[in-house]
Amino acid sequence: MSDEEHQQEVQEPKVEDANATINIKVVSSSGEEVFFKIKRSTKLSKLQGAYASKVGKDVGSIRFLYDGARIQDDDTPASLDMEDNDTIDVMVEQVGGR
Amino acid sequence: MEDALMFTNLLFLLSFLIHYVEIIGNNHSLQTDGASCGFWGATFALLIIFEINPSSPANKKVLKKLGATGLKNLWRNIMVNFLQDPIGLQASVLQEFLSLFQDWQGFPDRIDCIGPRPSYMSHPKALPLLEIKTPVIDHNDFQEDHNDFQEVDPKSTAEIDILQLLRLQLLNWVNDEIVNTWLAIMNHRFESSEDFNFWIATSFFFQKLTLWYQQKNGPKKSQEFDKLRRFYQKPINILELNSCFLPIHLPNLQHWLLAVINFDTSSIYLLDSWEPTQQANRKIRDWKKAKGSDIIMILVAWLDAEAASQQVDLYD
Repeated sequence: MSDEEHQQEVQEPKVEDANATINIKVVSSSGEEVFFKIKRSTKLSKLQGAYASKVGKDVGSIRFLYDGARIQDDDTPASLDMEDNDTIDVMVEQVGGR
Repeated sequence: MEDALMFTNLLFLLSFLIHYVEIIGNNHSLQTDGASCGFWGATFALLIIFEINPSSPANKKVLKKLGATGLKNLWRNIMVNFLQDPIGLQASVLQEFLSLFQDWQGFPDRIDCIGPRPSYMSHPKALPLLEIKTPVIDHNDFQEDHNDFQEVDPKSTAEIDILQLLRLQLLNWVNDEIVNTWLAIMNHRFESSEDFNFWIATSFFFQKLTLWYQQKNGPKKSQEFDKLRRFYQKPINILELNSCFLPIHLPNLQHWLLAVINFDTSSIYLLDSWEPTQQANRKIRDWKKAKGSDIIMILVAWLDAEAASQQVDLYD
């Protein structure tokens, strides 16, 4: 009896969704493309760090955009509803003062 | 019915090509230093949103009196309030500034909060502490309107970092982070106006638009245009809006200016505080002689492509 109850409580997590990977294309403003394969549940900040070290730039000097909006620290492919082969735009910090 | 709509759009675009208006300029450059274009551009946008004409003689006088230092103080107050107050930017902070202008009518619907803080702003990067002098305001008249920076009482170390970031950025040149925060404030204001429809681009849109514009015509270019439209963030028909605001960053000149497209009067305005680019843009007033890379040409090509893609949509 008590065993049954216990089994009901511990439902199997949806392994498929959490571990599913997707391919993401990161495109720089000059058109260079870098491909990443990440889990849908992985924070995109991890991808940002990996991209920055790959191209040898400080992560604070580049901006990652998905559909024109800044990607925030806690965003994941799942939270942004990204699809396989979706694109992230990378833009360089814009500074002006004249 | 649909054909009629399409035809109106085309007529409407043709009429665009006739008007090119420059608000601030004509040898009365407001900007006298080499480090405040971002502040002027943002201030012009702010005034226009609240239906204050920045180019009327009386208002120009107020702006001139404030000067770059006054504006920097204003924006510093706005940013500090925006970031520190848990609910976001308080209307009273803007009220102080806006009431300096002749045609200010007051907030129509008694708004208290102008814009909530975007969530990415709550993750400030740690910056080294810097000693920067608080700037002195140009004219004594306005001194009482600005709270001293030191009076602000930061609640946590995270907020101190934000303040350092602000100090660093507001007293130096303006980057996209600051510009896009202004836009977030303005967007919020836009959403509360029922009979005025607009869209504000982020600072990255024009850069993307330029890249698209420079591509050769072909299927790839139309594909790229569809991607560009994802930057709108919401289902809008650009050509049926009242206005569009596009902050423009010129990387080679390290300069900011603001383009405003007014669809009601079919005019494109370039709001530019800096003499050298004003002169360059004045030369392309006769747009037909303009070279390919000019701002107006890119904007017109964008509107043209919008109209063309809408025709395709109608026939689908």
